[in-house]
Amino acid sequence: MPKKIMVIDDEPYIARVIKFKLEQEGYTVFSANDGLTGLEKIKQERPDLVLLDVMMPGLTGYEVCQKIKADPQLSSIPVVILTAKGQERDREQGLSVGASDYITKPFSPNRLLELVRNMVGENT
Amino acid sequence: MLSWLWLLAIPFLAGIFLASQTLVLKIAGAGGMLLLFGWGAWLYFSLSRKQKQAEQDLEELARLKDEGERQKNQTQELARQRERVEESRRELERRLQEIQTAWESLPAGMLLISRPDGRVLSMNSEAERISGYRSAEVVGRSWEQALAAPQNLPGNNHRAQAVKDRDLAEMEQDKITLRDGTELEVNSRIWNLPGGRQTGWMFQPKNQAMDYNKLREEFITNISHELRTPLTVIKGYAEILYEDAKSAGHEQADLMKVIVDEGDRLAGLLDSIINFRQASSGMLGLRQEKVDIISLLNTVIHDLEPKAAKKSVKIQKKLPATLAPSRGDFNALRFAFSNILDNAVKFNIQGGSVTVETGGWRLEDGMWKMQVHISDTGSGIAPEVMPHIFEKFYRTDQKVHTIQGTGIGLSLTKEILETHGGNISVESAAGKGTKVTVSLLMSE
Repeated sequence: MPKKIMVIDDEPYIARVIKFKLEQEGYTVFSANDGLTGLEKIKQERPDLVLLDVMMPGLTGYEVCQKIKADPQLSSIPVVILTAKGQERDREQGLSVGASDYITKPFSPNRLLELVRNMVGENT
Repeated sequence: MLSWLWLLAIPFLAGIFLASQTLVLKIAGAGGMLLLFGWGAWLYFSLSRKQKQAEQDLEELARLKDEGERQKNQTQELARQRERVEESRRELERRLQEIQTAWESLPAGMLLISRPDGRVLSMNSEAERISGYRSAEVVGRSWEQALAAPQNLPGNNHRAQAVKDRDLAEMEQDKITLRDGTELEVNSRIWNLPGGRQTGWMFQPKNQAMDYNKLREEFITNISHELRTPLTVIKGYAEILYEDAKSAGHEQADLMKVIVDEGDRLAGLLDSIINFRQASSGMLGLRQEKVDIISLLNTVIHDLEPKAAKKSVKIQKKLPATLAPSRGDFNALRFAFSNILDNAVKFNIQGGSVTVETGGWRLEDGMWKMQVHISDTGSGIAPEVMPHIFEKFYRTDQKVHTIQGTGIGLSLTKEILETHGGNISVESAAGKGTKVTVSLLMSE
Protein backbone atom coordinates (compact mmCIF):
# COMPACT_ATOMS: atom_id res chain seq x y z
CA MET A 1 0.00 0.00 0.00
CA PRO A 2 1.78 3.22 -1.17
CA LYS A 3 1.94 6.14 1.24
CA LYS A 4 -0.34 9.06 0.46
CA ILE A 5 1.00 12.59 0.31
CA MET A 6 -1.13 15.71 0.04
CA VAL A 7 0.40 18.84 -1.58
CA ILE A 8 -1.35 22.20 -1.13
CA ASP A 9 0.21 25.09 -3.08
CA ASP A 10 -1.48 27.90 -5.01
CA GLU A 11 1.28 27.66 -7.63
CA PRO A 12 0.17 24.73 -9.83
CA TYR A 13 3.66 24.15 -11.23
CA ILE A 14 5.16 23.78 -7.78
CA ALA A 15 2.45 21.27 -6.85
CA ARG A 16 3.18 19.45 -10.12
CA VAL A 17 6.94 19.27 -9.69
CA ILE A 18 6.49 17.86 -6.18
CA LYS A 19 3.85 15.41 -7.43
CA PHE A 20 6.14 14.32 -10.27
CA LYS A 21 9.12 13.68 -8.05
CA LEU A 22 7.21 11.85 -5.33
CA GLU A 23 5.22 9.75 -7.80
CA GLN A 24 8.51 8.74 -9.40
CA GLU A 25 9.43 7.36 -6.02
CA GLY A 26 6.17 5.43 -5.72
CA TYR A 27 4.15 7.67 -3.47
CA THR A 28 0.50 8.45 -4.18
CA VAL A 29 0.20 12.21 -4.42
CA PHE A 30 -2.93 14.38 -4.25
CA SER A 31 -2.75 18.08 -4.84
CA ALA A 32 -4.88 21.15 -4.32
CA ASN A 33 -4.33 24.79 -5.23
CA ASP A 34 -6.11 26.37 -2.29
CA GLY A 35 -6.62 25.73 1.39
CA LEU A 36 -10.33 24.88 1.38
CA THR A 37 -10.12 22.34 -1.43
CA GLY A 38 -7.05 20.93 0.25
CA LEU A 39 -8.87 20.45 3.55
CA GLU A 40 -11.73 18.65 1.77
CA LYS A 41 -9.30 16.29 0.06
CA ILE A 42 -7.47 15.65 3.33
CA LYS A 43 -10.78 14.59 4.91
CA GLN A 44 -11.52 12.25 1.98
CA GLU A 45 -8.10 10.73 1.44
CA ARG A 46 -6.58 10.74 4.95
CA PRO A 47 -3.00 11.23 3.67
CA ASP A 48 0.10 10.19 5.61
CA LEU A 49 1.69 13.63 5.17
CA VAL A 50 0.65 17.14 4.15
CA LEU A 51 3.03 19.49 2.31
CA LEU A 52 1.61 22.97 2.79
CA ASP A 53 2.46 26.34 1.21
CA VAL A 54 2.25 29.37 3.50
CA MET A 55 1.35 32.33 1.31
CA MET A 56 -1.88 31.43 -0.38
CA PRO A 57 -4.93 33.51 -1.20
CA GLY A 58 -7.97 32.66 0.92
CA LEU A 59 -6.91 30.39 3.74
CA THR A 60 -3.22 30.77 4.51
CA GLY A 61 -1.06 27.76 5.20
CA TYR A 62 -1.07 28.56 8.90
CA GLU A 63 -4.86 28.57 8.98
CA VAL A 64 -5.04 25.27 7.11
CA CYS A 65 -2.53 23.77 9.53
CA GLN A 66 -4.52 25.04 12.52
CA LYS A 67 -7.71 23.45 11.13
CA ILE A 68 -5.96 20.13 10.57
CA LYS A 69 -4.59 20.17 14.09
CA ALA A 70 -7.97 21.18 15.56
CA ASP A 71 -9.77 18.23 13.94
CA PRO A 72 -9.35 15.16 16.20
CA GLN A 73 -9.59 12.83 13.19
CA LEU A 74 -6.85 14.65 11.27
CA SER A 75 -4.63 15.99 14.01
CA SER A 76 -2.22 13.06 13.86
CA ILE A 77 -1.27 13.77 10.22
CA PRO A 78 2.15 15.43 10.10
CA VAL A 79 2.37 18.76 8.26
CA VAL A 80 5.45 20.21 6.52
CA ILE A 81 5.39 23.92 5.75
CA LEU A 82 6.73 25.15 2.40
CA THR A 83 7.92 28.70 2.98
CA ALA A 84 9.07 31.12 0.34
CA LYS A 85 10.21 33.92 2.53
CA GLY A 86 13.18 32.30 4.10
CA GLN A 87 12.46 34.01 7.35
CA GLU A 88 12.80 32.71 10.84
CA ARG A 89 9.39 34.14 11.59
CA ASP A 90 7.70 31.82 9.06
CA ARG A 91 9.32 28.76 10.50
CA GLU A 92 8.46 29.69 14.08
CA GLN A 93 4.88 30.54 13.21
CA GLY A 94 4.55 27.27 11.28
CA LEU A 95 5.90 25.24 14.18
CA SER A 96 3.72 27.13 16.64
CA VAL A 97 0.54 26.08 14.80
CA GLY A 98 1.57 22.43 14.90
CA ALA A 99 3.70 21.87 11.79
CA SER A 100 6.33 19.15 12.20
CA ASP A 101 8.94 20.62 9.87
CA TYR A 102 9.52 23.18 7.15
CA ILE A 103 11.38 23.47 3.86
CA THR A 104 12.45 26.72 2.21
CA LYS A 105 11.74 27.51 -1.43
CA PRO A 106 13.49 27.10 -3.78
CA PHE A 107 14.12 23.56 -2.58
CA SER A 108 15.78 20.69 -4.33
CA PRO A 109 13.42 17.79 -5.14
CA ASN A 110 15.99 15.42 -3.67
CA ARG A 111 16.07 17.36 -0.44
CA LEU A 112 12.26 17.23 -0.31
CA LEU A 113 12.28 13.50 -1.00
CA GLU A 114 14.71 13.01 1.85
CA LEU A 115 12.42 14.94 4.17
CA VAL A 116 9.36 12.97 3.07
CA ARG A 117 11.20 9.69 3.63
CA ASN A 118 12.14 10.81 7.11
CA MET A 119 8.55 11.69 7.92
CA VAL A 120 6.61 8.71 6.52
CA GLY A 121 9.23 6.11 5.62
CA GLU A 122 10.13 4.63 2.28
CA ASN A 123 7.67 2.92 -0.01
CA THR A 124 8.54 -0.73 -0.39
CA MET B 1 -54.64 139.68 32.95
CA LEU B 2 -57.18 140.43 35.68
CA SER B 3 -54.42 141.95 37.74
CA TRP B 4 -54.46 144.86 35.35
CA LEU B 5 -58.18 145.57 35.96
CA TRP B 6 -57.26 147.93 38.70
CA LEU B 7 -56.07 150.38 35.98
CA LEU B 8 -59.77 151.00 35.32
CA ALA B 9 -59.80 152.65 38.76
CA ILE B 10 -57.43 155.41 37.51
CA PRO B 11 -59.83 157.23 35.17
CA PHE B 12 -62.45 156.85 37.92
CA LEU B 13 -60.18 158.45 40.51
CA ALA B 14 -59.04 161.12 38.00
CA GLY B 15 -62.71 161.92 37.39
CA ILE B 16 -63.27 162.32 41.10
CA PHE B 17 -60.17 164.57 41.32
CA LEU B 18 -61.22 166.80 38.43
CA ALA B 19 -64.93 166.87 39.01
CA SER B 20 -64.99 167.16 42.79
CA GLN B 21 -65.47 170.49 44.37
CA THR B 22 -64.54 169.27 47.74
CA LEU B 23 -60.92 169.39 48.74
CA VAL B 24 -61.16 166.25 50.75
CA LEU B 25 -62.43 164.35 47.82
CA LYS B 26 -59.81 165.90 45.55
CA ILE B 27 -57.05 164.85 47.96
CA ALA B 28 -58.58 161.40 48.30
CA GLY B 29 -58.78 161.13 44.54
CA ALA B 30 -55.17 162.26 44.03
CA GLY B 31 -53.97 160.09 46.89
CA GLY B 32 -55.82 157.14 45.51
CA MET B 33 -54.22 157.70 42.14
CA LEU B 34 -50.79 158.03 43.70
CA LEU B 35 -51.31 154.87 45.72
CA LEU B 36 -52.46 153.08 42.60
CA PHE B 37 -49.49 154.34 40.59
CA GLY B 38 -47.12 153.40 43.36
CA TRP B 39 -48.63 149.96 43.75
CA GLY B 40 -48.74 149.59 40.00
CA ALA B 41 -45.09 150.53 39.70
CA TRP B 42 -44.15 148.14 42.49
CA LEU B 43 -46.16 145.44 40.91
CA TYR B 44 -44.57 146.15 37.57
CA PHE B 45 -41.08 146.03 38.92
CA SER B 46 -41.66 142.99 40.98
CA LEU B 47 -43.26 141.21 38.08
CA SER B 48 -40.58 142.15 35.67
CA ARG B 49 -38.03 140.96 38.25
CA LYS B 50 -39.85 137.67 38.56
CA GLN B 51 -39.97 137.36 34.83
CA LYS B 52 -36.25 137.98 34.63
CA GLN B 53 -35.74 135.37 37.28
CA ALA B 54 -37.94 133.01 35.33
CA GLU B 55 -36.01 133.72 32.18
CA GLN B 56 -32.80 133.13 34.00
CA ASP B 57 -34.19 129.93 35.37
CA LEU B 58 -35.24 128.92 31.90
CA GLU B 59 -31.80 129.65 30.58
CA GLU B 60 -30.29 127.72 33.42
CA LEU B 61 -32.63 124.93 32.66
CA ALA B 62 -31.70 124.97 28.97
CA ARG B 63 -28.06 125.04 29.92
CA LEU B 64 -28.52 122.10 32.23
CA LYS B 65 -30.40 120.34 29.52
CA ASP B 66 -27.57 120.95 27.06
CA GLU B 67 -25.09 119.80 29.61
CA GLY B 68 -27.12 116.66 30.16
CA GLU B 69 -27.31 116.06 26.44
CA ARG B 70 -23.58 116.52 26.12
CA GLN B 71 -22.91 114.12 28.95
CA LYS B 72 -25.28 111.63 27.42
CA ASN B 73 -23.44 111.91 24.12
CA GLN B 74 -20.16 111.50 25.90
CA THR B 75 -21.41 108.38 27.61
CA GLN B 76 -22.62 106.99 24.34
CA GLU B 77 -19.31 107.81 22.70
CA LEU B 78 -17.53 106.09 25.55
CA ALA B 79 -19.72 103.05 25.18
CA ARG B 80 -19.04 103.01 21.45
CA GLN B 81 -15.35 103.27 22.04
CA ARG B 82 -15.51 100.53 24.62
CA GLU B 83 -17.36 98.41 22.09
CA ARG B 84 -14.68 99.09 19.50
CA VAL B 85 -11.94 98.20 21.96
CA GLU B 86 -13.77 95.04 22.87
CA GLU B 87 -14.14 94.20 19.24
CA SER B 88 -10.47 94.66 18.49
CA ARG B 89 -9.64 92.64 21.57
CA ARG B 90 -11.80 89.81 20.31
CA GLU B 91 -10.24 90.12 16.85
CA LEU B 92 -6.81 90.04 18.43
CA GLU B 93 -7.75 86.98 20.43
CA ARG B 94 -9.06 85.28 17.33
CA ARG B 95 -5.85 86.07 15.42
CA LEU B 96 -3.79 84.90 18.35
CA GLN B 97 -5.81 81.70 18.43
CA GLU B 98 -5.17 81.25 14.72
CA ILE B 99 -1.46 81.79 15.14
CA GLN B 100 -1.45 79.46 18.12
CA THR B 101 -3.24 76.78 16.12
CA ALA B 102 -0.89 77.22 13.17
CA TRP B 103 2.12 77.14 15.48
CA GLU B 104 0.95 74.01 17.25
CA SER B 105 -0.11 72.18 14.11
CA LEU B 106 2.98 73.13 12.13
CA PRO B 107 4.21 69.92 10.52
CA ALA B 108 7.71 70.78 11.64
CA GLY B 109 9.36 71.26 14.98
CA MET B 110 9.81 74.94 15.74
CA LEU B 111 11.58 76.86 18.45
CA LEU B 112 11.49 80.58 19.03
CA ILE B 113 14.73 81.88 20.45
CA SER B 114 15.50 85.16 22.13
CA ARG B 115 18.20 86.85 20.12
CA PRO B 116 20.65 88.39 22.54
CA ASP B 117 20.95 85.57 25.07
CA GLY B 118 19.96 82.57 22.95
CA ARG B 119 17.34 81.31 25.38
CA VAL B 120 14.41 79.30 24.08
CA LEU B 121 11.21 81.33 24.32
CA SER B 122 8.79 78.70 23.14
CA MET B 123 8.57 75.35 21.47
CA ASN B 124 5.71 73.87 19.50
CA SER B 125 3.99 70.50 19.87
CA GLU B 126 5.73 68.97 16.89
CA ALA B 127 9.11 69.85 18.39
CA GLU B 128 7.94 68.18 21.61
CA ARG B 129 6.83 65.14 19.68
CA ILE B 130 10.06 64.84 17.68
CA SER B 131 12.43 65.47 20.57
CA GLY B 132 10.51 63.77 23.37
CA TYR B 133 11.08 66.84 25.56
CA ARG B 134 8.23 68.78 27.07
CA SER B 135 8.15 72.48 26.36
CA ALA B 136 8.73 73.32 30.02
CA GLU B 137 12.00 71.37 30.02
CA VAL B 138 13.45 73.37 27.16
CA VAL B 139 12.03 76.88 27.51
CA GLY B 140 14.51 79.12 29.25
CA ARG B 141 17.50 76.96 28.39
CA SER B 142 20.15 77.95 25.90
CA TRP B 143 19.17 76.68 22.48
CA GLU B 144 22.69 75.51 21.80
CA GLN B 145 22.33 73.01 24.61
CA ALA B 146 18.67 72.19 24.19
CA LEU B 147 18.45 69.54 21.45
CA ALA B 148 22.17 70.01 20.87
CA ALA B 149 23.82 68.38 17.94
CA PRO B 150 26.05 65.65 19.41
CA GLN B 151 29.26 67.05 17.99
CA ASN B 152 28.55 70.58 19.12
CA LEU B 153 30.94 72.22 21.48
CA PRO B 154 29.82 75.30 23.37
CA GLY B 155 31.11 78.46 21.75
CA ASN B 156 31.78 76.68 18.49
CA ASN B 157 28.27 76.20 17.34
CA HIS B 158 27.28 76.09 13.76
CA ARG B 159 23.73 77.07 14.60
CA ALA B 160 24.86 80.24 16.29
CA GLN B 161 27.20 80.78 13.39
CA ALA B 162 24.31 80.38 10.98
CA VAL B 163 22.45 83.14 12.78
CA LYS B 164 25.45 85.41 12.84
CA ASP B 165 26.39 84.93 9.24
CA ARG B 166 23.17 85.61 7.48
CA ASP B 167 19.59 86.56 8.00
CA LEU B 168 18.18 83.53 6.29
CA ALA B 169 19.72 80.13 6.63
CA GLU B 170 19.14 77.61 3.90
CA MET B 171 17.78 74.15 4.58
CA GLU B 172 20.65 72.21 5.98
CA GLN B 173 21.46 68.95 7.59
CA ASP B 174 21.65 69.01 11.30
CA LYS B 175 21.56 66.48 14.06
CA ILE B 176 19.66 66.83 17.28
CA THR B 177 19.83 64.81 20.46
CA LEU B 178 16.50 63.48 21.59
CA ARG B 179 15.40 63.17 25.19
CA ASP B 180 16.31 59.47 25.23
CA GLY B 181 19.82 60.35 24.11
CA THR B 182 19.55 59.09 20.53
CA GLU B 183 20.62 61.21 17.63
CA LEU B 184 18.26 62.22 14.91
CA GLU B 185 19.15 63.62 11.53
CA VAL B 186 16.99 66.56 10.63
CA ASN B 187 16.58 69.10 7.89
CA SER B 188 16.94 72.35 9.69
CA ARG B 189 16.29 75.99 8.93
CA ILE B 190 17.34 78.92 11.03
CA TRP B 191 16.35 82.50 10.38
CA ASN B 192 16.12 85.84 12.09
CA LEU B 193 12.72 87.29 12.69
CA PRO B 194 12.02 90.85 11.54
CA GLY B 195 13.10 93.25 14.24
CA GLY B 196 16.18 91.21 14.91
CA ARG B 197 15.26 90.31 18.48
CA GLN B 198 14.23 86.74 17.87
CA THR B 199 15.43 83.75 15.91
CA GLY B 200 13.27 81.02 14.49
CA TRP B 201 14.49 77.46 14.19
CA MET B 202 12.49 74.94 12.29
CA PHE B 203 13.45 71.31 11.84
CA GLN B 204 11.99 68.13 10.43
CA PRO B 205 13.23 64.57 10.69
CA LYS B 206 14.52 63.16 7.44
CA ASN B 207 11.40 61.10 7.01
CA GLN B 208 11.96 60.45 3.38
CA ALA B 209 14.96 58.29 4.06
CA MET B 210 12.95 56.27 6.55
CA ASP B 211 10.16 55.75 4.04
CA TYR B 212 12.68 54.63 1.47
CA ASN B 213 13.98 52.05 3.88
CA LYS B 214 10.50 50.75 4.51
CA LEU B 215 9.83 50.69 0.79
CA ARG B 216 13.02 48.78 0.20
CA GLU B 217 12.18 46.23 2.88
CA GLU B 218 8.81 45.57 1.30
CA PHE B 219 10.26 45.55 -2.17
CA ILE B 220 12.92 43.02 -1.29
CA THR B 221 10.46 40.79 0.54
CA ASN B 222 8.06 40.86 -2.39
CA ILE B 223 10.65 40.42 -5.09
CA SER B 224 12.28 37.53 -3.30
CA HIS B 225 8.93 35.80 -2.98
CA GLU B 226 8.04 36.46 -6.59
CA LEU B 227 11.39 35.12 -7.74
CA ARG B 228 11.47 32.09 -5.51
CA THR B 229 8.29 30.61 -6.89
CA PRO B 230 9.37 30.29 -10.55
CA LEU B 231 12.85 29.41 -9.42
CA THR B 232 11.53 26.51 -7.37
CA VAL B 233 9.75 25.18 -10.45
CA ILE B 234 12.73 25.64 -12.78
CA LYS B 235 15.18 24.15 -10.33
CA GLY B 236 12.86 21.29 -9.47
CA TYR B 237 12.26 20.19 -13.05
CA ALA B 238 15.87 20.80 -14.09
CA GLU B 239 17.07 18.55 -11.29
CA ILE B 240 14.62 15.80 -12.18
CA LEU B 241 15.52 16.02 -15.88
CA TYR B 242 19.23 16.09 -15.09
CA GLU B 243 19.00 12.93 -13.02
CA ASP B 244 16.98 11.15 -15.70
CA ALA B 245 19.40 12.21 -18.44
CA LYS B 246 22.38 11.20 -16.33
CA SER B 247 21.06 7.76 -15.47
CA ALA B 248 20.12 7.20 -19.12
CA GLY B 249 23.61 8.32 -20.18
CA HIS B 250 22.31 11.15 -22.35
CA GLU B 251 24.66 13.91 -23.53
CA GLN B 252 22.15 16.53 -22.43
CA ALA B 253 22.95 15.72 -18.80
CA ASP B 254 25.80 18.28 -18.92
CA LEU B 255 23.48 20.97 -20.24
CA MET B 256 20.88 20.16 -17.61
CA LYS B 257 23.59 20.41 -14.95
CA VAL B 258 24.27 24.00 -16.07
CA ILE B 259 20.60 24.88 -15.52
CA VAL B 260 20.67 23.26 -12.08
CA ASP B 261 23.88 25.12 -11.12
CA GLU B 262 22.64 28.45 -12.43
CA GLY B 263 19.40 27.92 -10.54
CA ASP B 264 21.46 27.35 -7.42
CA ARG B 265 23.39 30.50 -8.11
CA LEU B 266 20.23 32.49 -8.51
CA ALA B 267 18.91 30.98 -5.29
CA GLY B 268 22.17 31.94 -3.61
CA LEU B 269 21.80 35.47 -4.87
CA LEU B 270 18.28 35.65 -3.52
CA ASP B 271 19.52 34.39 -0.19
CA SER B 272 22.18 37.09 -0.25
CA ILE B 273 19.56 39.73 -0.83
CA ILE B 274 17.48 38.40 2.03
CA ASN B 275 20.57 38.11 4.19
CA PHE B 276 21.58 41.57 3.17
CA ARG B 277 18.20 42.93 4.11
CA GLN B 278 18.53 41.27 7.48
CA ALA B 279 22.08 42.54 7.69
CA SER B 280 21.09 46.11 7.05
CA SER B 281 18.38 45.95 9.67
CA GLY B 282 20.45 44.16 12.23
CA MET B 283 23.90 43.47 10.82
CA LEU B 284 23.15 39.77 11.06
CA GLY B 285 23.21 37.08 8.45
CA LEU B 286 26.22 38.25 6.45
CA ARG B 287 28.89 35.64 6.66
CA GLN B 288 32.40 36.40 7.76
CA GLU B 289 34.60 34.29 5.54
CA LYS B 290 37.90 34.64 3.74
CA VAL B 291 37.22 36.12 0.33
CA ASP B 292 39.82 35.96 -2.41
CA ILE B 293 39.06 39.19 -4.24
CA ILE B 294 41.11 38.15 -7.31
CA SER B 295 39.20 34.93 -7.83
CA LEU B 296 35.95 36.75 -7.05
CA LEU B 297 36.69 39.35 -9.73
CA ASN B 298 37.69 36.64 -12.19
CA THR B 299 34.41 34.82 -11.56
CA VAL B 300 32.36 37.97 -11.96
CA ILE B 301 34.18 38.89 -15.19
CA HIS B 302 33.80 35.36 -16.50
CA ASP B 303 30.05 35.46 -15.84
CA LEU B 304 29.74 38.75 -17.60
CA GLU B 305 31.77 37.91 -20.69
CA PRO B 306 28.88 36.54 -22.83
CA LYS B 307 26.94 39.74 -22.20
CA ALA B 308 29.98 41.89 -22.99
CA ALA B 309 30.68 39.90 -26.15
CA LYS B 310 27.18 40.61 -27.41
CA LYS B 311 27.99 44.31 -27.26
CA SER B 312 31.59 43.76 -28.45
CA VAL B 313 32.77 45.23 -25.17
CA LYS B 314 36.23 44.06 -24.21
CA ILE B 315 36.93 43.45 -20.52
CA GLN B 316 40.57 44.12 -19.70
CA LYS B 317 41.95 42.64 -16.52
CA LYS B 318 44.91 44.21 -14.78
CA LEU B 319 44.94 41.92 -11.79
CA PRO B 320 47.79 40.32 -9.90
CA ALA B 321 47.85 36.51 -9.82
CA THR B 322 47.31 36.32 -6.07
CA LEU B 323 46.50 38.62 -3.23
CA ALA B 324 45.90 38.20 0.47
CA PRO B 325 42.19 37.55 1.03
CA SER B 326 39.66 40.05 2.30
CA ARG B 327 37.07 39.07 4.86
CA GLY B 328 33.33 39.18 4.38
CA ASP B 329 30.41 37.55 2.68
CA PHE B 330 31.38 36.06 -0.68
CA ASN B 331 27.85 36.21 -2.14
CA ALA B 332 27.26 39.76 -1.02
CA LEU B 333 30.60 40.97 -2.39
CA ARG B 334 30.00 39.07 -5.58
CA PHE B 335 26.64 40.79 -5.88
CA ALA B 336 28.34 44.18 -5.36
CA PHE B 337 31.05 43.65 -7.98
CA SER B 338 28.62 42.01 -10.42
CA ASN B 339 26.51 45.11 -10.19
CA ILE B 340 29.33 47.55 -10.83
CA LEU B 341 30.71 45.54 -13.73
CA ASP B 342 27.26 44.93 -15.12
CA ASN B 343 26.66 48.69 -15.21
CA ALA B 344 30.05 49.19 -16.88
CA VAL B 345 28.97 46.87 -19.69
CA LYS B 346 25.33 47.95 -19.76
CA PHE B 347 26.09 51.64 -20.12
CA ASN B 348 29.05 51.15 -22.43
CA ILE B 349 29.17 51.93 -26.12
CA GLN B 350 29.17 49.24 -28.77
CA GLY B 351 32.78 48.05 -29.09
CA GLY B 352 33.90 49.86 -25.94
CA SER B 353 36.02 48.52 -23.14
CA VAL B 354 35.94 47.94 -19.42
CA THR B 355 39.11 47.91 -17.35
CA VAL B 356 39.31 46.16 -13.99
CA GLU B 357 42.37 47.01 -11.96
CA THR B 358 43.47 46.49 -8.38
CA GLY B 359 46.00 48.19 -6.22
CA GLY B 360 47.53 45.80 -3.70
CA TRP B 361 46.84 45.91 0.02
CA ARG B 362 48.22 49.10 1.46
CA LEU B 363 48.45 50.28 5.02
CA GLU B 364 46.34 53.43 5.38
CA ASP B 365 45.58 55.03 8.73
CA GLY B 366 46.61 51.85 10.47
CA MET B 367 44.30 49.66 8.38
CA TRP B 368 44.96 47.43 5.42
CA LYS B 369 43.00 48.71 2.46
CA MET B 370 42.75 47.87 -1.20
CA GLN B 371 41.25 49.73 -4.07
CA VAL B 372 39.59 48.17 -7.08
CA HIS B 373 39.06 50.44 -10.09
CA ILE B 374 36.46 49.65 -12.72
CA SER B 375 36.48 52.08 -15.62
CA ASP B 376 34.42 52.06 -18.77
CA THR B 377 34.26 53.92 -22.06
CA GLY B 378 30.54 54.55 -21.84
CA SER B 379 28.49 57.68 -22.12
CA GLY B 380 29.30 58.74 -18.57
CA ILE B 381 26.95 60.02 -15.92
CA ALA B 382 25.32 63.41 -16.36
CA PRO B 383 26.16 65.87 -13.55
CA GLU B 384 22.50 66.24 -12.60
CA VAL B 385 22.14 62.48 -12.23
CA MET B 386 25.37 61.98 -10.26
CA PRO B 387 24.00 62.94 -6.80
CA HIS B 388 21.19 60.39 -7.14
CA ILE B 389 22.98 57.28 -8.35
CA PHE B 390 23.09 55.69 -4.92
CA GLU B 391 19.46 56.45 -4.15
CA LYS B 392 17.04 53.58 -3.88
CA PHE B 393 14.83 53.01 -6.89
CA TYR B 394 16.39 55.90 -8.76
CA ARG B 395 16.46 55.33 -12.49
CA THR B 396 17.81 57.77 -15.01
CA ASP B 397 15.43 59.03 -17.67
CA GLN B 398 13.84 56.06 -19.37
CA LYS B 399 14.19 57.79 -22.74
CA VAL B 400 17.96 57.88 -22.47
CA HIS B 401 18.22 54.14 -22.21
CA THR B 402 15.74 51.35 -22.06
CA ILE B 403 17.68 49.07 -19.82
CA GLN B 404 15.88 46.90 -17.35
CA GLY B 405 16.74 47.04 -13.72
CA THR B 406 15.23 47.25 -10.29
CA GLY B 407 16.84 50.50 -9.22
CA ILE B 408 18.22 48.90 -6.08
CA GLY B 409 21.51 47.65 -7.52
CA LEU B 410 23.81 50.53 -6.71
CA SER B 411 22.26 51.45 -3.41
CA LEU B 412 22.51 47.83 -2.33
CA THR B 413 26.09 47.69 -3.62
CA LYS B 414 27.00 50.74 -1.59
CA GLU B 415 25.40 49.34 1.51
CA ILE B 416 27.10 45.98 1.08
CA LEU B 417 30.49 47.64 0.70
CA GLU B 418 29.90 49.93 3.64
CA THR B 419 28.76 47.00 5.76
CA HIS B 420 32.11 45.45 4.90
CA GLY B 421 33.88 48.57 6.13
CA GLY B 422 34.67 49.69 2.61
CA ASN B 423 33.22 52.30 0.36
CA ILE B 424 32.50 53.18 -3.24
CA SER B 425 33.15 56.38 -5.17
CA VAL B 426 32.30 57.35 -8.72
CA GLU B 427 34.04 59.77 -11.07
CA SER B 428 32.45 60.54 -14.36
CA ALA B 429 32.23 63.08 -17.13
CA ALA B 430 29.52 62.92 -19.76
CA GLY B 431 30.99 61.31 -22.88
CA LYS B 432 34.21 60.34 -21.16
CA GLY B 433 33.17 57.23 -19.34
CA THR B 434 32.88 56.37 -15.69
CA LYS B 435 35.42 55.23 -13.17
CA VAL B 436 34.20 53.43 -10.09
CA THR B 437 36.60 53.00 -7.22
CA VAL B 438 35.85 50.45 -4.54
CA SER B 439 37.79 50.55 -1.36
CA LEU B 440 37.93 47.35 0.66
CA LEU B 441 39.11 46.68 4.15
CA MET B 442 41.15 43.70 5.19
CA SER B 443 39.88 42.71 8.59
CA GLU B 444 41.27 40.14 10.93
